[in-house]
Amino acid sequence: MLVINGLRKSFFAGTPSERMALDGVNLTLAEGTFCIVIGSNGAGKSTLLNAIAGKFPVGPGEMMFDGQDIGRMALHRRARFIARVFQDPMTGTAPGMTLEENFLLAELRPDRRRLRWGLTAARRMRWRNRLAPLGLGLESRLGDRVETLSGGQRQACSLVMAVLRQPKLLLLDEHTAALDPVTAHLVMTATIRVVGEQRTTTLMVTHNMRHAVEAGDRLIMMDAGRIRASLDGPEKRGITVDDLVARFRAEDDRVLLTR
Amino acid sequence: MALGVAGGFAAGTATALISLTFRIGSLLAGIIVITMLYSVNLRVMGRSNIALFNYDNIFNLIHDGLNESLPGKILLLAAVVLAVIGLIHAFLRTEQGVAFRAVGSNLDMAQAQGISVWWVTVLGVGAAASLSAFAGTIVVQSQGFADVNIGFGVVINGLAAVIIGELLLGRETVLHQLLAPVAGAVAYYQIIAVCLAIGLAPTDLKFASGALVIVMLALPVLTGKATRAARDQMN
Repeated sequence: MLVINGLRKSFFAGTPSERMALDGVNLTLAEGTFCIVIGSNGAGKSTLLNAIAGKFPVGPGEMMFDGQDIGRMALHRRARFIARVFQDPMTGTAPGMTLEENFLLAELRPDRRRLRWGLTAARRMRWRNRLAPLGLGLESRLGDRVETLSGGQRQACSLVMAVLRQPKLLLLDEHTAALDPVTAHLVMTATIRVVGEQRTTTLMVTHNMRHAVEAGDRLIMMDAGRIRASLDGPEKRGITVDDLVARFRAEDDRVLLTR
Repeated sequence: MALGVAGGFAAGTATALISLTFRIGSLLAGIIVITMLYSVNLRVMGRSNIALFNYDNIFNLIHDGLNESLPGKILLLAAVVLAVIGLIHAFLRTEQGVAFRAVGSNLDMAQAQGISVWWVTVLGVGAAASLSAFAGTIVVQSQGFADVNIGFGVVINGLAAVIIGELLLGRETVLHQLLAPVAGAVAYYQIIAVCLAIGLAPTDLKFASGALVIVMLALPVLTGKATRAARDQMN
């Protein structure tokens, strides 16, 4: 579904602060894969997700989605088939607007918006049904403004909103990093559930080794702008946190030795 | 009138396009376009002031003698204002309208939901300018003449109206936010009338307006609300 070949991205090109954030990334992501992305800070994980989402132009290298070159496609057009949940709970929802209005925005993500009433009873019912399984009571708060929700609640909403219209690709950028452990666990459980329900192709960046072990059927490790290691299927599912940390350190050392 | 509104729309979209394409800040782009429009207006009008007393205007066309009746005019304009607000309120509850609000609320999130910020900005600024132009067409008919200078400094009047309105009505719902500037404008002009009544010359009004805006903006600081709000804030 997603094929990336030799992708490069540098910031501040031509200046003394030039940084090669992506240094030749090769990735083939099959449909239905739940892929975890780990790596040290500055490895390029977020840059990779931002590049896929279309936040900035990339090159050289190519990015193909379902056979179509999306390298030059605008962010809002890619948003038709790519959904994101950001690390900052504040970024994923629109303040000053109610929960149901935010859901309406997510509901129409893949569509052309029309001049007809947005908030209908049918839609509200649908959204309530998607919020109830979270167990946070948010299904009765559709009319509340999102500022009245806590960060964790907003993040849970962002997650449900992201999968509301079955995106072809879901990008999760450390979406539990800013939450307390209890809420992070809740959001992570919900993540595994909703991704599993629709078998959504997912890329999840995380620093949390336990989440990296518990979720996903594929794992890639990034460092210095490249993918250094990849675990698939049984190898990924069987790994423990200790194994992962040991491999992480080993890869780190190997990277340092080969540089 | 239709031409006036169309002109306003053109000016608005031009401002947005200039701002977006050449990466010029919206405030600066607006000031530049307004300055350029001064020359455009002079070209269109042919001279700086045109008397309209001898022409038919909407008041007379709707009802003979309406032009002379102040209560009549007020009623008609109130109806027009309510109709416009009704239209905007309805629009903001459509799928498109909520997208417009999202762009104003959280630009990144709006883009991530598939909304073209470019289109919304161009159409939004165009619509806003059309409304200003529409108001302008009514003002010149009401006062009986068109002058190239009546727009000078009106931004302060508008600002005062918006601020007073928000103080009066708050921003609880979208409807509150739409009605607030209307209430504020009415209140503002009453304050101006009071200023004239207590002896200020009409030429002093621009100073009085500016002073009023400063006081309004400074109220949170003056009443200690600003420090309280900063303490109460969660994020």
